[in-house]
This record gives sequence, structure tokens and C-alpha cells, in this order.
Amino acid sequence: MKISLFTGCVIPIKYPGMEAAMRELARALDIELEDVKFGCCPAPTGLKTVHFDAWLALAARNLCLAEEKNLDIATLCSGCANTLRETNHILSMDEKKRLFVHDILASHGKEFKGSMKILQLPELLSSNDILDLIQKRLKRPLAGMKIATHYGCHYFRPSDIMLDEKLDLGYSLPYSMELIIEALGAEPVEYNRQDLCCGAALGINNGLTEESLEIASEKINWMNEVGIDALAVCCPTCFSQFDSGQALIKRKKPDLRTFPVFHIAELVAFALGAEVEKLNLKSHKIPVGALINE
Amino acid sequence: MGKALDLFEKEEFYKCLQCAICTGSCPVARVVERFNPREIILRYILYGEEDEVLGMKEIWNCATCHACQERCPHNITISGLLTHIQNLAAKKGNLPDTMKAAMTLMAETGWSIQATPRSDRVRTELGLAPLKRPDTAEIRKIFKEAGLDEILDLK
Amino acid sequence: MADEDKITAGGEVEEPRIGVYVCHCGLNIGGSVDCEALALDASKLEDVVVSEAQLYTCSEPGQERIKSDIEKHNLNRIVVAACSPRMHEPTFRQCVQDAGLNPYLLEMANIREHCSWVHLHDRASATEKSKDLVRMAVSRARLLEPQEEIDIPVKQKALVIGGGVAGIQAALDLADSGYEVVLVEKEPSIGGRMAQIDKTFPTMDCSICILAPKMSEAGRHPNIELMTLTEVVNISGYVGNFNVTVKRKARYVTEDCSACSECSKACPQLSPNEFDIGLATRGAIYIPFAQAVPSKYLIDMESCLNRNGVRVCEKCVEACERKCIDFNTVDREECFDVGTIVVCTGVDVFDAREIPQYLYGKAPNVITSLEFERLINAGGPTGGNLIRPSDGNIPKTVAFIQCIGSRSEKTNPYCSNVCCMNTIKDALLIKEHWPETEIKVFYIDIRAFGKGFEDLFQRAKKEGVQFIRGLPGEVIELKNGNLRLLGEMTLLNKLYEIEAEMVVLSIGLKPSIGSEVIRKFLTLSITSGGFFMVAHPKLRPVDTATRGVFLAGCSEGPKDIKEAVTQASAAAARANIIMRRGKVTVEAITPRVNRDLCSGCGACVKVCPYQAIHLDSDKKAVVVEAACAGCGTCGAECSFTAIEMRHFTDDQILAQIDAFTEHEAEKKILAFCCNWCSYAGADFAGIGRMQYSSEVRIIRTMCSGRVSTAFIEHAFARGIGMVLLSGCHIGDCHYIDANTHAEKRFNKTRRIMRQAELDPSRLELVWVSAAEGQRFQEKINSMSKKLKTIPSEEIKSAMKYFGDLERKRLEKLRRGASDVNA
Repeated sequence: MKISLFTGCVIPIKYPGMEAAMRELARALDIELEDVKFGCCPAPTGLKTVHFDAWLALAARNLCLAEEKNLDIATLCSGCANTLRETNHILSMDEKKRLFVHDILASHGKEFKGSMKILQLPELLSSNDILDLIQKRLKRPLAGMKIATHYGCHYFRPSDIMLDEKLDLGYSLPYSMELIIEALGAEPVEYNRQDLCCGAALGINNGLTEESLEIASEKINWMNEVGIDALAVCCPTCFSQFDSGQALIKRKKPDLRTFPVFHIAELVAFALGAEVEKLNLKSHKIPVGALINE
Repeated sequence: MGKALDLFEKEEFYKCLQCAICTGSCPVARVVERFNPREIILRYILYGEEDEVLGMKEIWNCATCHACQERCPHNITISGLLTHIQNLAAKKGNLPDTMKAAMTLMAETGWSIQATPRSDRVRTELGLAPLKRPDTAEIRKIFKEAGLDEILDLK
Repeated sequence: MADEDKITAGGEVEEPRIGVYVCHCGLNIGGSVDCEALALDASKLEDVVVSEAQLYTCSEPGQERIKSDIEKHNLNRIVVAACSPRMHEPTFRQCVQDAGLNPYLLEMANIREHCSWVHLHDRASATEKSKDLVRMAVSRARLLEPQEEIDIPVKQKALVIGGGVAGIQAALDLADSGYEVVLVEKEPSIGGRMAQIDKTFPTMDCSICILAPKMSEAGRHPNIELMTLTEVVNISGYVGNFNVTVKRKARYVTEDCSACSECSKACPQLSPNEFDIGLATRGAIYIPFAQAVPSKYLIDMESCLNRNGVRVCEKCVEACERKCIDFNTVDREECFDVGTIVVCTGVDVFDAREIPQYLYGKAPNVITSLEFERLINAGGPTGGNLIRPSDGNIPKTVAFIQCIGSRSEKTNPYCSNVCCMNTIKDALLIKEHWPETEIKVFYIDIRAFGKGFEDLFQRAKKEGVQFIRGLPGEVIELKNGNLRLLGEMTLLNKLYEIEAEMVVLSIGLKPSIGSEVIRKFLTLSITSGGFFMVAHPKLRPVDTATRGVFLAGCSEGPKDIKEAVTQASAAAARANIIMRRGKVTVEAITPRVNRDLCSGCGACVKVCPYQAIHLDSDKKAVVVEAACAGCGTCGAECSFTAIEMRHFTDDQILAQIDAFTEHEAEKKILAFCCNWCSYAGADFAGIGRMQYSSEVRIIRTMCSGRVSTAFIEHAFARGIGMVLLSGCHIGDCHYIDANTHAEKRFNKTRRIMRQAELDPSRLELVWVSAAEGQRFQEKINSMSKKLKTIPSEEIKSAMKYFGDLERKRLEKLRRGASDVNA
């Protein structure tokens, strides 16, 4: 399978280890990645709230760049997926907005047709074929590890755009990452308020770091109540919030029980046997010792 | 925003029963006083206090988590309303400096965070190709054509 | 216009002698219309023998005048130009009938609601328009024929579908009145929801205690045949003669059962007990609850070990002294005929798992209000102890969350009526047994609208129940099974974090799943919430649009026991009216089929909303009078003019069109209005004195489905300026869906006009309900603006095009008719 890789801007600049992880796991799973000169998606918590039209136009531009390659897009960040999917949706439903964007893009030789799919990494990896392949090529099974997931708000809300299928009765979260975690040999666990936001935007947009960490703390406490071994996320901003966040919280509360945080790409790449140095796991603020000593 | 005819559908808001499930689900409401989605709906739409709401600094505290919209019993596009209010407020000059700085960075570099020599170094260590800068000239032009210059000084 | 040989059914027996009476109605009409001039103008029309203006035609002297004129001048048709026929047609029909004339020989011209009241400031135009309206009425009157209404016999037997309290009450009332009643219930016992709840509000009566005597009475009443474990599989026929087929599911236990319970003690299987909502278990052989009627056991084959047809276990048979277990029982069908039907199919409850954040189905101490009823009921699975499912302890704090699955577009948009009072009652029950319990009710509004409700609400507050406005956004389960609720107290603008040991979700009511099946058989309409719709929300609250079929209880909408019983008695009374008379009268507006002209194409069969017309063995259309509602859609659909709609014939309608298109047709608008909605809407505009331009002339039909493309073509061929088709909103049609055919014909004609390079916007369509007078006014005003811009070439082109079309069509019919007659 060949796919266009949308890395966004946070991962290549701040967490290149995750990009490396993605490339490693793609190699291990026979997925060919095409690189495109995308710009910032743009962020759904940033530009969109300030100037919707500029956000829409820039996102459409990114979609056009992918469309030129005639490939579907895989994203490493839920924020990027949210922006691209929503733009795709708006441009196919709202004639007024589509014309607005069309006129701007046309002057730059681009035209949006809306022909490609936008996949989030967990969606890509949780298809039956890929799960089978992962299990076959597993080199370092994560046996015995209790791993919880945090999808982050933009992964599954608004649900009519972000989820292809309605969730089962009684469920408020998807389970693509849980399927992957099982395939890696680990045990997915639930915790209270699993669908709560990580709170990062509060710190980034407004500098309200205290309040932002209060939100993250609530989740961390519930995760610790269950006693997880690690947390899996699929968004670099959520990652930062929990990884750096735990470090910041620990300064004030030294006996905080901490656990390592991973981007799902890192977990999969590791389990498929990627060189540990290549993944740059030492850059995590919360040490990943338990995993590496496997 | 499922119904993408505009940022929000005003008609929907007349269904609002002020049940407060939105505020009850809001992560920010718990930690920031005076951020209250239910109240924003009441004041902005039902009571017509548009100017007052547009002048509030607190509207920028929305984390865009969409929990309010997702949980609303009437599927009201609350996130859409918040985005609309923020957009309008920005046009009227109510925009935090942090966000203005982030937009400026994007217009200049095409990215939302600052690339440093360190990031390039780490990439090389990991065997990754150096960062490829996007076509910032085109991006700036698109921004201008979309009207971002009403808020930002785009050179 | 050349006189075509119109294919009329029945020749004229006598010369029409028409009397025209123009009513001043005081100043209501006289103030804006010159009634004397109108009467004078009418007197000059052919066949008009008497024409005069009166002050109040509907008054005693006015009516006496008409009656004496009929005798003196040998009048045989009467035209009254006055108010809307929806107002006084019955009055004048009675008046002419008293004078010996057939009541169908009366025509009214609406010169008040449709003229004088809406053109208050233009006397000249109003008078000219009235002249046209009277001419139209006279033209129709000429062609009116005496009609006889027929009576059909009514079977003295009723079917009640559903054995909840509404069904039981309806069955008892009808049985006590002397009719045979078949009471069909799909569950093994009657009793419905009322048997499941503990106490009733506001009286705090024990529910099953007051219901059980009624259940027994229904079970042993000599006039009631009780069929439980039975479902309706087909209903056909019409009022007075419904043919019902039911499937009687196998009980596997015979009539000899004395409910001794030895069999269930011996049964090795366990299944969740439906009556206790899965909170308790039962065997494969069981009785649904202690007070079941009939008091008989039954076997649930799904859980019985013998389900595959092989007898592997006979423990129950061994234990049964009376030898009344029979594994050889099979499902069987039964048929019977009834005269009337009362639909009491009741409600199901909302599945709270649809709101995942409230943790129903995940956290054991989150229960629904119905589960609460079973727990607190002394006859329930815990002997009346309200215990936490997680640890069996009595909770010290209980939180109720209201509006679960109600007042929400996501789930059900309506209010479920009973949940507020039910929670208040529940809270008082808890306080009665465990006064120290802290109770908090989270609400959006408290609806305590009925008798005694406010008092109960007050009592709850006095007992210390706290009412907090603001539903929780989150419910979190703690390690000890407690629940933490996060939300906002809107009245204090303050966030809350409240812990409760048990949460009760006040779930809403949904239409019963079985209703869909019944709906199809009886062509019943449903509201947006999915409940059955009544004929008129204010004046006919238990009738359905289908004659002879009535509604009672929650099948019509969520309601409490008192309202359900009230409706049930009302429905029984309404059914009684039909059955007591022994016959139903069919209004003489049903179709007559000309078998010679009928080609057997079946187009009429396809469009009839009531399946009241079908093809017989000779492939000719045949009408079932009693099932027909007279909408006229079949008549409009027939392209062979084989169907004549009595009292609303093609000739009468065409004559009305001709009457006012004699002069200056291009300056006029023809509007077709349906009796139930748009005509009433136009009346409403008049009542509200909403002024509009005077170009419009309205022709009334029973339904917009009556309007055929031939009428529209004829109007354009006569040179009309514009045509308006109007009727009930889609989904609200008085004749279920007949208006969809009007829409189809509208689209078809517009297509033809486009292809002929005519201006299709000269034909318009608008749906107007009886309350939308303003909508009608706006439409006419916008059309008259457009009317002024239509060039005369356009008028002429349409005249030619449609004239040719009409000529060709009539020629083809003439040839077809002569072929038949040859």
C-alpha cells in the first residue's frame, strides 16, 4: 500500500522520534510513504478560532497538494486529521465555502476535488489485514503490560465527521488503539473520564498552564487509580501534555506515581523490532525504562 | 460541525433548554471561572448581549474539545458558535497576544512552532531528512486573499 | 368556446330553476360589496329564476324566505352567496331539505371570508370578484344532482388491541354496554406498564392493587374474549366490517392450569424475568407475575431444554398434578370480524445505553426508573428493599436525573409527560421507608400540571428532597460503587460535584415496537414523535382519520393512568356511537365507475390512500363505499374519464373555470384549495382581515389530490393568467398522502410547460395549513405581482398550446368511447 504521510509541524520539529517511528513501522509493514511539502494543517485550536476563512483556505491547499499525488493521507496527529477531515466535509457540503476556496486556490493553480481519504494512524493500523501483519511480524511483544489509551478530543469529535461508523450502544469512545495494543500482546485497560480532553489548548492559547495541568491531572489520577503501566496517545500535543505535564506536576507533588507516555507509532515500531536509538525514546520526560528493559 | 452551512445555525439555538449538560461536560469550565458555554449561549443568542460577550477575554479559553456539542441533547452546534464568537472578537481587536504571535509565526514560517538548529540536529541523528520548508510566499498570499490581514499585519 | 360533447353520467331530468340569495351579513359583506348590484347581475344569468339580496340569510326570516321561494317558484337549485361553506353549508342544506329539496342541490359562494373581508378597501374590485364567484356557483349549481347517502351495517363486535390499563378499560366499557369484545394482548398476561409500577401519583395508591380487580373483571367478563400471547397479523376491511387475523402463540400449558407453581420449582433452567426487567430470574416454565390474568403458566421455548424439538427434559410434566403441560402445542391463526377497533398498543421505554456518559449498563448502581419500581415494590425481586445492585446495601444518597431520552433531538424530541411526577413519587416512597436518605433531583423543568400534582411536588420539598436545576454532564463510577455527578447549578451559576450511592435515570417513553405493524394495516398517521395521530387534536382527540378506529392510552402519546383511562372510556363511547346506530352513513361524495369506459389500467388502485378501489375479476374498477373517504384522487388519476366523483364532478369544476374566464381571464388567478387545509387557511386569512389582491378565484375540492392535470390545462387553454395548486402540508394530508399526487401532477405540468417554452412559474404550488392565513395572503400577493408582468404573447401561446393538447386528448377519448360503444 502507498500512502501520503502528513506529519504536521509539531512532530517533525519537536518529536522527530515519532516521525522516525512511523517510517520504521511503515517499512516493517510494507507501507510505502510519500512525502509532500505540507505546511501546518493549520491547527484546529489555533488559526481556526482566529480566522476561519484563512484556516479553511490553507487546509484546502494541503488537501490539494495530497490530491496531486493521487494518494490517501495518513496523519500522525489527531489535530491534523480533524482539520483535514472537517475541511473535506465542509467543502463537499457547503457550496458557498467551496466557491470561496476555489477562487483563492485557482489563482495558485490548484483545484480541490475531494477524492482522497484521510486516515488517522490508529485507523490505518487497526484494519484486519494490518493487525494480522503486525501479529505475524511481532518481534518484541509487550506481554503483561497494562496500557491505557487517550484518543484526544479531535480524534473522535465531532462524531459525525470523525467517525465512519456509529459507536456501539453504551460506548462513547472508539477502540482502534485498543485493537492495536492487543495485537502487540499487551492488555488495554479502561479508566474513568477516558473521553476527557487533555487540556493542552488552555496552556498553548492562553498561557494558563496551571489550569491546563489541572485538567490533565484529573485524567492522570484516574489512570493511576487503575495502575496503568503506560499511556498510548495519537497526538503530539496530548503527548506533550501528559509527558511534560507529569514532569511539571511532579515538581509540585514529588510522590506522584508516573508512567511513560507513548505515541502509538512508537509502541508499534518498538514492538515490530525497530532499533531503539532510532526512536529517540530517551527524549521522553518520563523515562520509558520499563518498556526498554523488555 | 456536521451541518456546515455556516459556522453555526442560529435556528438550532432556540431549542436550547439551558439544561447545562454542555457546561457540565466542559473541561475548562471546571478550572476557569467565568467560562460557561451555557451562559454564553444564553447571553449571546437568547438575550442578544452580543457586544458584551465579544468583549470577554474568557472566550479564548475554549479548548475546542467539542464535548459540549457532542453531548448536547439537541445536537446544537455549540463549538461552531464559540468559533464564530472568537472569529468576530478577533476582528474587533479582542485577541490574546500569545495567539497573535502564533499566527504571525505561521505566516512567516508556514509552521505553528519555531524550528531550531537543535531540531535539525536531532533529525540528522535519527537518520531523517532535514525539514522541508513549505512555500511560505504562497501561504502568505493565500492568507491575504482569505482576509487574514484584517487581523494580522502580513508583509 | 365550442360546446364539446361532454361525456356526462346521467342526463338532465329537469330544467334547472335556480334561486340566488346574496347575504349582506350586516356590514360584513355589505360594507365592501355592493350586494344589490350582485343580485341584479345574478338575475340576468341563464336558469336563474329568483335573485335577491338579504340582510342575514342564515337567520330565521332569511331561511323562511328561501323555503317559501322554493315552493312558490318551483326552485330546484339554491345558491347562497354569503360566508364560507365551512361555516353554514350544514345550515342551508338542512334548510333546503326542510323545503323538500335534496340537500346536495345547494351551492354556496364564499363572498365573505374569501372576498369582502380581504378586499376591504376596494369596493369595485370586491364587487366584480363577487360577481365572478356567484357566476361560478350558478354554473356548478346547474350541474348538481340529487344524491342519496347509503347506509352500511355495522358488526356488533369490537377489537381492542393491547391489554394495558387503557385496553382493559375500553374493553370493559364496551363489554358492559353489551357488545362482544375481543381483547388481544401480545404478552402472556394483561396489565401492561401499570402492573409493573409500585405506586401511582398523586394518590400513592398501590398500582397493582387498583388494577388487579379490573384485570380479573376483564378476564371473566362474559362479553370479553381474552386472547393473550396473541398478535395481530392482518386487518382488512372498513368501518363496520373489519376482518382481523391474529396469531395465537403456543403457551404449551392448557386451560386446566391452576397456577400451583410446582412446575417452575422443578424447572432446571434460568432466564432473566422480563417483568422484573432482568433484575430477577424465572424458569423456562413460568408465570409472568403473581396477579397475572389469565392466571396460567407458560413455557418460553427459547430457554426450555426441549427447544430443538427433542424431549430431553420432562421435569415440569412430572411435577404437574393436573397434567396440563402439552409440548405439542403449536402457533395457530384465527380470524374474526369486528365493527370497530380501539388501538391501545402502549409504550416501550427508552434504552438508556444510548446516552453512554450516564454509565447505564456499565455501573451497576445506575438504574432506570422502571427498575426502581420493581426494586421498591414489595412483590418485586428484593421484597421492596431498595438495594444497590453492587453490594446489596440500602443507599444513603440517591440522585435522580430527569429527561433521559426525552426533550432531545438526539433521542426523542417530546416530553414524556409522566417522569417528573414519577420521580417526585419515587422520592416520597424512599423517604417513607428510609427517611434519612438524602435525595437530589437533577432537572431542567418540573412539570406538575395535573390535579394534585403541585401538592405532591410541595410535599416532596417539605420532606427534604432537593431539586437542582442542571443535568450532570458526567457521571463517574468510584471504586466503592458510588457515583460522582459533575454539572452546573444553573440557578446559582455554580458548578457542582455531587456524590451519590445510587443514580436513578428517569427514562422517557417511546411508541411500542408493535405499533408499526398496526399502523400499516389501519393506514394510521403518526406524529413526528412516532405516536399515532388523532383526527383533530382539539375536537376529535380519540378518533383517527380512519373511520371506526380509535386510540386510547399511550399509543396516542405519553400520558399518566388517569389520562389513559379517560381516553379509553372516550374511545369506547365513540365506538359505541357507531355500533349502537348499527349502520354507518357514507357521504355521497364517493366515485362512480363507468365500466364501459374503464380500461382496467389500475392507475386508480395505485393512488387510493385507503385501498378503497380495486379491480374486480373482469378487470374493471370497483369502489368499496365504506372504505372510501371521497378525496377524489382516483378520479383525477383516471385518464379515461371512467370515474365520476359524485358532487365534485369534472364537469362541475370545468364549468366553474369557464364561468369566470369569460372575461379578462388573463388578469385572473385560479386557485384550487382543499377543504381541510388550504381552503380553511384562506378562510382564516379572511377572519384575520389579512388583505390581499383581488385577482384570485378559489375552487374548492375535498383534497388537492382531486385536481387533475386536465383542469390545469383547461384553465390555461381558457387564457387564465396564473394557476395556484394548494393543499395540506405533505405528511398532514387529511387523506393520508393524496396530496403527494397533486405534487406529482404539478411537477409534470411544469415540465410540459418548460418543454413547450412557456413560463412554468405561471403554475405555482403552496402547502397551507388551516392556521396559515398569512401564508395564503403572502402567496396571493406575490402571485399578483408576477401576474402583472406576464406578456400577452405568453398568454396566447399557452392558450394555443394547451387548447391543442386538450382537443387532442378529448378527441382520443371520443374515439375510445365510440370503439367501446361499437
